[in-house]
Amino acid sequence: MSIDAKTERLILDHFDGQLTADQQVELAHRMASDPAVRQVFARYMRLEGTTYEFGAAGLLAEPQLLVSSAADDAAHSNQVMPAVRSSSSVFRSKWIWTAASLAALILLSSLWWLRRSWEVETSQPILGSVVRSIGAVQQDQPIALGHELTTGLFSVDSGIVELEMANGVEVILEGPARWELLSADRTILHSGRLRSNVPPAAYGFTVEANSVRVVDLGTEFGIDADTEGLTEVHVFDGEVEVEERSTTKPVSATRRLLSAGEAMRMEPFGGVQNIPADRNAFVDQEGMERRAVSFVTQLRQDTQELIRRRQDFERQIAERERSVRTSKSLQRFRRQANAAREKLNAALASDSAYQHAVRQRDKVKAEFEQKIHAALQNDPKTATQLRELDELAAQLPAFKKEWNQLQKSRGDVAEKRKLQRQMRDAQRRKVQLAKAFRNERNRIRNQNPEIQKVWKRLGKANRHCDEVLSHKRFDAVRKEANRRRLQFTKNLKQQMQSDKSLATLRQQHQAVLEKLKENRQLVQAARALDRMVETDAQQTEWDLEADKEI
Amino acid sequence: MTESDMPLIKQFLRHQSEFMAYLMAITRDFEASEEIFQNAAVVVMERSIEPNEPLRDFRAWAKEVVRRQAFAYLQAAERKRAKTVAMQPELLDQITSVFLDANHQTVPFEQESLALRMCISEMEARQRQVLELRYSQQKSFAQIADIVNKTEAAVQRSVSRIRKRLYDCVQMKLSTSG
Repeated sequence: MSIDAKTERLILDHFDGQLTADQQVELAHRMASDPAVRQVFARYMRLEGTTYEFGAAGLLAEPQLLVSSAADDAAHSNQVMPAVRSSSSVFRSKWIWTAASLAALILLSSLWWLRRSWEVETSQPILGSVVRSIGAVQQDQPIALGHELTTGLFSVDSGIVELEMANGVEVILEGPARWELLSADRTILHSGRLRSNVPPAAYGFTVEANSVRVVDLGTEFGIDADTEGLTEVHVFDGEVEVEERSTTKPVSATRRLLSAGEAMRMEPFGGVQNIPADRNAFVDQEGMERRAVSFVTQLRQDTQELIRRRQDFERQIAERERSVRTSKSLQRFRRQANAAREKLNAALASDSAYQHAVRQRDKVKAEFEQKIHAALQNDPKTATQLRELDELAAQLPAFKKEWNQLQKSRGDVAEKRKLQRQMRDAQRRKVQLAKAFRNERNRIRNQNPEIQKVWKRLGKANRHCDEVLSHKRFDAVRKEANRRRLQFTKNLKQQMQSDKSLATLRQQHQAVLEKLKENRQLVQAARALDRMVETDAQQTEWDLEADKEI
Repeated sequence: MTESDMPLIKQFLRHQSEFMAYLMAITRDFEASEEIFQNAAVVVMERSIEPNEPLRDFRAWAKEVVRRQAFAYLQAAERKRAKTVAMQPELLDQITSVFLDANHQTVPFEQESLALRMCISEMEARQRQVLELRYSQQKSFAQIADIVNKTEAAVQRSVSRIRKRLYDCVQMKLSTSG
C-alpha cells in the first residue's frame, strides 16, 4: 500500500499544523477518493497516538538525558502507574466511592507529575500534591488544589487536605498540623492528625511522631500527635510496626506490632496504654465528602451574599460616577464642548454640498435596504432562516422565564440540567443560524447584479460624504470641537480619578471580586472529585457568574 | 477480569492512545487534546456512576463520546479564534470517519506499539532528543529550536522526517514479522 510523495507530505505537515486551509481541503479530497490514503493516514494517526503515550510514560528519553536519579525514579514509578493498578484492590472494599474516578484522577495527576517533574528543578522531586482541600489554610493563604509537596515542612494551619503522594500513598491531614517530608517514604508528623492509606507498592512508609516511629506494613492507619507530646496510633486495616524510643533511656527502643482494630496511646514520658482503634477519630474519605458538602454549602451561601454586595457596589459606583459627571466644576467644560459641537453641526447643516451628499447617501441606502430585503424574502433559503431566527428569538425569553421559576422553586436538578441543555442548544442554534444567514446575505449581495450595483453606489456615496466632510472649510470648527471635547474628557477623567469616595468604592468592589474568586477556588478545591464526576450543570452556573464578573 | 467487567473508566483509559491519536490529528495541539480527553473521561465516569442499559460495544460508544467532546471543543475554539489555521470541515469529516471506522486497523495495536518501541530505540541520539522534547515535554517548535540551536522551520522538518522514518521502520518491522 503506497501513496505518492506529495500526499504523504500533506499528511506529515498536517500533524505539525502546517497546512493552509486549501491544503487541508486538498488532503480531504485525496482521502475521500483513495482508500490507500485513508489507510496511510490512519497509520500515521496511530503512530502519533502511540508516540504521545510513550512520551507521557517517559519512554522517549535517552537514559543519559535523565538529569538525576530522583527524576528517573519519579518518571519510572509513574510510567508503570502503580497507583492505578493497586487502587482497585485497595479501594474496592472500603473506599468504595468511585474508585474509577480516583483511578482517573491518579492517572491524570501522574501524567501531570511526570510533565511537572521535567519543568521543575529536577533536584527537587515532587513527592505529592493536594487533590482536595476543604477550607485549608497555610499562612493565611488557601491551600489550592494541585499544590505540590517537595521535601520539607508542609503545614496546615486549619482545615483539611487530602494528598495523593507520588508513590500511591493517600493521606488526609487535619489542621492544625505540621508534617515534614524527608523523602517519599520517611516523614515526621510534628503535630496534627494524619490518616493514611498505603498501597502495597509503598510498603514501608514511615511516620515519626514525638517519641514513636510507625512503619507501615501495607495498611490504613491514623496518627494523632498533639503539641504536648501525647501520641496515638490507630490501625484500621492491616498492620503497622510501632517503635518507641524512650526519652529517658536513649539507647533502648521497643518494637511491637499493632494490627487492625488496635490502638496505642503514648504519654510524653513513657506511659503506654492500649486502647481500641477509633475510626471516627480520624476523618476518612466519606467524612471528607460530608465535610466538603457542608463546606461548599456554606461557601455558596457566602457567595450569594458576596454577589449581592458586588451588585450593590456596582450600583453605588455607577451613581457616584453619574454625580461626578454632572458636578458643577465640569459644567463649564461641558458647555464649551457642546457649544463647539453645535457650531460644527451648524456649519454642516448650512453647507449645501454636504447636505446634498448626505441626502444622496440616505437615498441610496434606503434603496439598497429595500432591494436586499426583498431578495432575502424571495430566496427560499434565507426566508426560512429568517423565520427560524424569529422563532428562536421568541423561544429564548420563555426559556429564561422557566429557568427563573425553577431557580425560585429550587426545582429538581435533573430538570434544571435538561432545561439548561435546551437553552444552550437553542442559543448555539441561534448563533449558527445567524452566521449562516449572514453568509447567505453576503452571497446574495455579491451575486445579484442589481443589488451589487446599488451596493457599490452606496460605497461611493459614503466616500463622497467623507470627502466633503474633510474639506478644509470645516477645519477650524472641527478642530475647535475636538479640542473642547478632549478638554472635557480630560477633566472628567481627572475628576473621576481624584474622587475619594469613588476610589474607596472601587477598592471595596475589587475586594469583593477577589473574595469571590477565592471562594470559587475554594469550592473547586473542596469538590475536586465531584467536579470531575458531576455534569457541567453546576459548573455552568459558576461560569455564568464568572462571565457576569467579566 | 475480561474487559467488559472492568469499570468503564479503565476500559476508556486502555484506549487512550487511540483516542489521543484522533484528538491530536484534529487539534494538532497537545494541550487541547488532553483537555478534550479529560472532558470525555468525565462523561465516561458519569455513565459508570449512573449505569443505564449495558453497553453492547464500549469502544464504539467511547469513540462517539470522544468525537462529541472534540466537536464541542473545536466549536468553542473557533469562537475564540485559535492561532493555527482552523480545521477545515472536509478534512475533519474524513479524519473522523477514519477514526470511527474500525476496519482500518489490520495489525493489533500491541504489535504496532512494540514495533514502534524497537524503532525508537534504534534512533540516533539527536533525533531522539527532538522526539523527547516534542512528545514528552510537549515543547513548541520554537522552544525546541532554541534548545537545539536550529531554526523553527528546520525543527519542524526534522520532526516530520523523524515521523516518516518511524512510520517506514514500523511498517518494515510489521511486514517482516508477518
